[in-house]
Amino acid sequence: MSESILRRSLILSGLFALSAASAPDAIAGRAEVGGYFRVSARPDLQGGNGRLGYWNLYGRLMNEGSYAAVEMKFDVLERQPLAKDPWTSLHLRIEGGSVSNADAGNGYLNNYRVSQLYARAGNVLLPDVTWQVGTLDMFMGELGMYDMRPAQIFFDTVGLSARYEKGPVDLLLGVGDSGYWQRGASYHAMPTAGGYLRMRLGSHVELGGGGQYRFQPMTEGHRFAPHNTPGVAYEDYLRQEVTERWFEENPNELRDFPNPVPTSAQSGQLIGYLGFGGLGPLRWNNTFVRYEKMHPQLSTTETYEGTSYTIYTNDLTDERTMLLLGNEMQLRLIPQRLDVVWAALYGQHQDGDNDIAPSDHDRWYASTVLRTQIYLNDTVHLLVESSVAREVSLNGNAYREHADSIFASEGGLPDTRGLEYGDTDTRDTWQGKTGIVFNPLGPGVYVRPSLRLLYGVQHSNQNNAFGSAFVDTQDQFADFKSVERHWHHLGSLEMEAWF
Amino acid sequence: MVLTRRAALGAFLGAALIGLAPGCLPKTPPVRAATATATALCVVLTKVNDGTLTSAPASLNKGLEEELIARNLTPSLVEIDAAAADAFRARRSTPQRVEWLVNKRADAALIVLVEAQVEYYTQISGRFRWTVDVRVTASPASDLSQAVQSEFSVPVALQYQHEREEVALEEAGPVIERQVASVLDQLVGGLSAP
Repeated sequence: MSESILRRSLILSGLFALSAASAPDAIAGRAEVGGYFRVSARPDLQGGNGRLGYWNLYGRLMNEGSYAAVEMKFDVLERQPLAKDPWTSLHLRIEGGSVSNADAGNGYLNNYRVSQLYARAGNVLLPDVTWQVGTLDMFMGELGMYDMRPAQIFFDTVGLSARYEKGPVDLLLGVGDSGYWQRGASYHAMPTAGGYLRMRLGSHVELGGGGQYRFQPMTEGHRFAPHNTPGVAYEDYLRQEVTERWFEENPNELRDFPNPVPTSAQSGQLIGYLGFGGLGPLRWNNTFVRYEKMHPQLSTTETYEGTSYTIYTNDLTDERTMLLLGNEMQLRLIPQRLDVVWAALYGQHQDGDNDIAPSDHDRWYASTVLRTQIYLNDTVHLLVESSVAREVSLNGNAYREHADSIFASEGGLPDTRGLEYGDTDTRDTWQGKTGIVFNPLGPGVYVRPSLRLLYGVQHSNQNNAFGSAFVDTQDQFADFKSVERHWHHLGSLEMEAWF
Repeated sequence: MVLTRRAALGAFLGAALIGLAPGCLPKTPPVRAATATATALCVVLTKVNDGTLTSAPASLNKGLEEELIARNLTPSLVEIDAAAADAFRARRSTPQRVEWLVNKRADAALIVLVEAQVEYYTQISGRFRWTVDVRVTASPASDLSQAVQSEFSVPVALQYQHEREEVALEEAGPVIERQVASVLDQLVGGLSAP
């Protein structure tokens, strides 16, 4: 037997021994799981509840609590990469913000919800189109430093979408209903339509834009449809004194509180995206913009002399808008040694109905975050982050600078009928964070899993500007006294992973 | 309060030093072939979305070559050019592909074939989740009955929407390199066993 024949026979016998399976295809009937976990131990020696500041405007790091999301996927018909056969997968996501021993919710399942359930299918009717039926949540990217997704649509929608992806074009169109997310148990249909177009312009630039529109029709006789209670003054609505005022002015019409008048409501958002990168040390830069007109609120309830009255508030809450502009730039300054991420955010919330009281709907804020990650070796990194932020109320004071702020407002005299809160309309916050990061998979600001040991410090002009159970009353008979505190120190041992 | 802060600072620094320790731990040396051995290395990426077959990113190829070199194997990379893509498109099973590699690189004593298939999964918590399914096959070219195989999936959560299959495969690189290293250690260790 010649050497070549021997070699060939050995190869053939070996081929039988090798797995006869084809290249690693997705398998029909395969169940797969993906998700996201975040958990931390942050014992706060100053009395807080384990977060450095109030919210992630100061950077998500140490300002967010525990979170878990698990998405299951089941391949009903596997996707054959080398064939154009129809394929289908089913997806179910459960997520929530609680983990046992790590937060007040203690991981109980009532903190979790089925946030996504949909079926995806492709190679059906149209080539290069993926159909999705069920929940439709979609975003064009994220500001990772803030954990915010301004270019997001259909977060509140269940319905049908079609996504066309080919070459540089990514087009999404969808229709559905947003009534349950917006109204919950007070459901009323809210037809929704929208979409986005994302284009890749060359190898370094991307551009995208889109929007979503919701319409809630007028439905006479439906108590959850949009209505207005006529003759309501905004200040009375704020003070929950609509019924009291009405009965004062109409003492002889006790049974004739005005009936609601049906109307329709609409809302929506426009989103924009510009991305560029792959240029020198610039890995990528994302710019997002979002302009949203909030959906009007349905109603509020007041009780007057033992009787409950529903005040319908469509026209009192239909001028709320939000502009959000964010940017995030990721730089690889010294490859495998030093990465930097810089992010900035600006938000403006306006409520055309409210000119008298501070609220989350009448404010602007601006913030910037800079994170530096130095790679001491492949797996052990040094993280240094700092942020500055300003939040300004557009309708007067909204923050307490001092424990005794009540004596500093309105010329030193407490105003028991005042609509303002605290003694300043501006909150300025600085945060600094540093610590050791252990990344088993190597260098990268966004490489996960990450195990972190961090120290964070915050200074705010607001007193006790972090979640806590402190007493803030000035009652002279109170058992506990309020304390002046503007610096906040916190240590954190935490883990974050996508899988 | 001062004592408390000092204690906290001390605990923090202590824990930081403990955190640094894993980076200094000695690694297990790779199993080396007795003599330098010519090895054909082929990494083929299949994009599930459009069925394209292409080469792996250079960084992954480089990492795998380093794993081979560390085991006294001399890598010879088989690029997935148009002809190779056509050949692999026609030969969809691993045995057929290995046979094609054996014939293409007759001078190679060992064959290492890494088949990666990358598929989009979903958007989750701000990221774009992909799945990288990988099959690693390493075998003496002259006796495929001694082949060693490993199959695994690597979840990858990409930061940007424009990042696609190549980036997902690159992100999965550290896991793939580790698995290839394990397969090579099994193969080389078995071949050099008395």
